[in-house]
Amino acid sequence: MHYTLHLTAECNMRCQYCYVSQSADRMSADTAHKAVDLALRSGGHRLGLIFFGGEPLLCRDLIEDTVAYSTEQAHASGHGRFFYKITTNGLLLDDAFLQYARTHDIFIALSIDGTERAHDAHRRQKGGAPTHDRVVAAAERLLRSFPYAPALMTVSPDTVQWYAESVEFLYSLGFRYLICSLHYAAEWDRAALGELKRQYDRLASFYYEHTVKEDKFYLSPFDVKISSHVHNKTYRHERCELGQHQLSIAPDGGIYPCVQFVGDVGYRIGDVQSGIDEEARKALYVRNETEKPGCDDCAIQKRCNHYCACLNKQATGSIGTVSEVLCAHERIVLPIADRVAARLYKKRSPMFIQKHYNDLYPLISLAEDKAIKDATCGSA
Amino acid sequence: MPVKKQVTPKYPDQYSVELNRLLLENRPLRWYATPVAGTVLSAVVILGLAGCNSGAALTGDSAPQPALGTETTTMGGVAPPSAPGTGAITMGDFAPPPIFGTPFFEHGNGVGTYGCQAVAAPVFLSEDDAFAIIKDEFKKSGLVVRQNGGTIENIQIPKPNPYYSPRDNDSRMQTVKGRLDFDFTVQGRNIVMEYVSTDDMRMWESAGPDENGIMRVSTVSRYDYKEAARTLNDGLNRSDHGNVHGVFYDPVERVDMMSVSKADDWKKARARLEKEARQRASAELREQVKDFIEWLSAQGII
Repeated sequence: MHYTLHLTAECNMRCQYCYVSQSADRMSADTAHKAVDLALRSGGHRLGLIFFGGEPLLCRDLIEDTVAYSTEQAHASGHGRFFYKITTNGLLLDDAFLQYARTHDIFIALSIDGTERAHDAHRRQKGGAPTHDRVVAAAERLLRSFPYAPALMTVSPDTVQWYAESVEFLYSLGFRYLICSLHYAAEWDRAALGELKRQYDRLASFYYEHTVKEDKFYLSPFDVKISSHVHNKTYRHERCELGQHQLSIAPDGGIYPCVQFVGDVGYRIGDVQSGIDEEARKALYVRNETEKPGCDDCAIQKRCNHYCACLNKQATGSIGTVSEVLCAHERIVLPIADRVAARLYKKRSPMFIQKHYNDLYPLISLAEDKAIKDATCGSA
Repeated sequence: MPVKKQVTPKYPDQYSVELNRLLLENRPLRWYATPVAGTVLSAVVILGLAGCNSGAALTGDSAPQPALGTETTTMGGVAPPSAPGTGAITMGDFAPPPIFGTPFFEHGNGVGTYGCQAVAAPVFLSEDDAFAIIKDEFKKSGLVVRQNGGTIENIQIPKPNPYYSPRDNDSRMQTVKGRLDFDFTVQGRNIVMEYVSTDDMRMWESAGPDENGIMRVSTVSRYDYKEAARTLNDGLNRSDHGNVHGVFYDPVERVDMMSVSKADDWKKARARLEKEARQRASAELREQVKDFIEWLSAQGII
């Protein structure tokens, strides 16, 4: 179970698509400790803490305090250890924090939208200054310490024309895990969706060529869709199951089923003091699993991302309503992903076969990552 | 607006593919060549066979995962290489040695027990029933299926024992070298198919004394169609018969008479339940055939 600690709503950037209120609310150390205690009380064999914001590195002291406290408490209670993750915009990602992250095995993901024009279109500082140069510098620092850190990329209608170019840019920068998501709440007209299809066609070539070259990488739009077919019996557990694998803790200690819900009291399912309201949690889960209107007889229902309550809420304001953009996106990406997968399977691409059909691939890959990381850090 | 029909992906899912062969034969060259090859290859060699078992899973306890958040909402599916799944590898999960050839497609329990008054006979699908289904599914791919697929000699044929015995809990089936007349073939292709039916089981059955000279007789017979088909498929995979083969089996759906109450018209109820069982069996056989076609397609054979 992962607990996402929303350390602060404050941010040093003003990304135009951000949904966070950007208030001055900050989590106290006491609340963070109570969240840790709640996690330990609730149990589970894989406990994770995710430091989230706003910009979590604005609360570096709180991160270090929480890591120390959770390590100590986990050890004392015999739970082994927590796993830590942080999502940052990179502006405060310096060598000191990277060293700290290496020491404490904190996994870092960087939000970066790709090329300069794609990134700076939305990801700007408070005063409007562009951030691309600084984030690229942070990315280079990050990748030196964590060669397999993921890049989190958001695509909007006005940047979709640079989608493939941005993926290629991030790849050339050294990112190998590319998590791409659309800004679903934006206005996507037919022209933008047409461009999206052209970009996915181009990315399919990118995916094919790098897979054939046996490069190790992960491109979420295609890898998720391919997995939804290859692992169709278990895919249900890989997709969003609202409130089952992750809970969000607001700065005031309120518990919410996922990140998009923080602060919306209608979705509050407890607090760190009194614990999780299991009935409310279950009710939300059941509500989200109930098939959405219009999706009942859809042929790609089981491979679709329409179960993601966060996306639905972000795009339509309701977890029970699927946005037309999401629906259009799934129709566009799925056949393209299937075509490129079929080509790779027919060619018996070793990387494709291993990545998608070998249950042990993540473990093997992890061993490889770790060896590379150790070699990188050892030579640094 | 819902998608009305999804084009079947031209690559197999994890459950219908012959994993052993794929895993053992298709490793990235980099795994041998890089400085981390020792680590990676050790993992492959030590644990590789466990991966052949689609049920095998990974321990993620030592692994960080990408941070979750809005940007990761499209994540899921294939775990990124740094994000293993959950569960644990158990050394006991090792799969048997690889058998190259056509996978065995399982849909339906394939066990029929019948014989005395207490047992409600299950529904069997005849070879004609199977032919209709197989023909229909191949037609969707533009292929024509004909009856009589030729003969192969000196093949490992299953030797089912129809008499119930607790020993049957050991699912290994005895075999005997014999001749097989394939039931079907695809016109213009070197694809042959065998459907394991009641006729086959009766023809192959070994009702004589067992290896210890003990003759077993019972008023209840039990046929394991699925195990017989699996055994036959293994035998065909080990032979060099020059064709691509597929083996299907009668799913043998049972008619659940326990659900009939005293107040029901017994004959009508029986007819209704039989019809339902037949529909289930047909659907399961159809799935076997569809898997085979998908596999043929993925292999580039059709």
